[in-house]
Amino acid sequence: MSKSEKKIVLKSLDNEAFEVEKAVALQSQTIWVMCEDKCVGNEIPLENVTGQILAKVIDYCKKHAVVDGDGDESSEELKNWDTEFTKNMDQSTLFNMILAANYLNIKSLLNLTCQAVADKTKTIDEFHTFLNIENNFTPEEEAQICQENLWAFDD
Amino acid sequence: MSNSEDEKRKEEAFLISSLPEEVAVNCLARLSSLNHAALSLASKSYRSLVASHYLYNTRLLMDRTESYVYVCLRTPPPNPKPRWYILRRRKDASSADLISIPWLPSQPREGSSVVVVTWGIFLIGGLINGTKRSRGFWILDCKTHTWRRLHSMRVARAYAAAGFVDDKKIYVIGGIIHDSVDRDDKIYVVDATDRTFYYSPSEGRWGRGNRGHVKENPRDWCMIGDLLYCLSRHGTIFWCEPDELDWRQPEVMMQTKEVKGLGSLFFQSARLLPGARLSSSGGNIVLFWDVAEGDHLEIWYAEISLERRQGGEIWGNIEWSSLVMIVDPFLGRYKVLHSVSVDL
Repeated sequence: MSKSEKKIVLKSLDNEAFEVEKAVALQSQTIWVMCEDKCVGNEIPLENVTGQILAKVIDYCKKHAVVDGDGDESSEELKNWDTEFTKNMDQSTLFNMILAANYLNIKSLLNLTCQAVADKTKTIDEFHTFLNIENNFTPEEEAQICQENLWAFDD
Repeated sequence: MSNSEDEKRKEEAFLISSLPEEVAVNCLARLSSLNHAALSLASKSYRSLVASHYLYNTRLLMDRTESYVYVCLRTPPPNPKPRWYILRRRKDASSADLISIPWLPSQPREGSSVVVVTWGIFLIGGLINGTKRSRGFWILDCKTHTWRRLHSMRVARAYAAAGFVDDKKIYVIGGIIHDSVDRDDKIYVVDATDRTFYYSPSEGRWGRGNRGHVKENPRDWCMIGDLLYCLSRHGTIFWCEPDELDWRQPEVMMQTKEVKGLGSLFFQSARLLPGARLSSSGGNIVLFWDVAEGDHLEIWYAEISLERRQGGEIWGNIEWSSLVMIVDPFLGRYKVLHSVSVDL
């Protein structure tokens, strides 16, 4: 295989180009299918992902591709890296990462980012603020549902 | 079950702004049942999501469910009422409480059979006012803690053997029967003095089992792992190989052996048996019992893990033993009617 065949160029929605190893990019099932179809050249346009998000996705894929290839990092280290990766992401970045992982069909990244949303939202206040949920109960309804769920709050 | 609630919910707006529903549910399915109770307070569409089979089935597929223990206690005479509780473990994991959940006003005072199927506790038949058998058939939806009445049975039954077999149907057999246990897609009706027999729905036939005489008149038979356990009237936990239930030639009686290493538990609970009841949760034995303690009544709970040691003996290890409810003042003994484990 020549050097150029090992590399692939991913182009974001806002026309940012990223040259990456094929092994890194092929963690995305969507890209894998596109390459299999051979209907694209070496450049793959990703119309749903911005450059800012794609850069992060590539970081994730590089980390996971290296480990799978060399086995020089323990799964413990990888887990810690994953935790750090999502720890300080704000809500909008995290949601965009989820959408990108879903579109690119990278199952482990989708699981990681969905878990991060679950970890950041445990209380009613967090549901309202982080998930932008609008409370549409009347005070009476709210009191009744609160009563029904006492078993979970009675701490 | 109807999917209309799921369809209605889907017509409503996005669950999480900008995320497709399946992805939103992927996030929310990772929350615990306790968080889901809070989530149902967030908005109307979330409330119906928490009640839906969709979210529950997603959690089941993702292996995100946890075991919760429910118990039904009957208040003392002169006006005995069955009351339902969920066992809630505290964050420090060293204590637990029984938290009251809605009860069923029309629940017979005794003799109902209970079967758990995924998120639901089915309550079947029973004795009304101590004499009249009930045809009633109810379900407690543990996702929302709401009761529903289902179609009544054609035949009124009390103390019937009941089981969920072959992941398909609930079978209710006989009545005024000692005990029952599901095994190998058959429902065994276990009797302490008479012959054990079984019904096999897949074969559509009845079969005879072993002669049921076993030491100390045990009850609460249940399969845990690949062994059968029961609790004697004197508070001893016995086990046996499940094929002891089967008929053999020449005929021998069921051979049960004592679970070892539980002396301290019996020391604690010596005064309260025979009121204790045994069931299983997550591969462990769970026990509930009451203790009359001067001017108040205490409800206790214990959880026992099981280990097979060299030589084939079964040893129990008390993972938990905790006071879970106090009834003050003491007005009489509470009876433990049912205890079951539900994955939520």
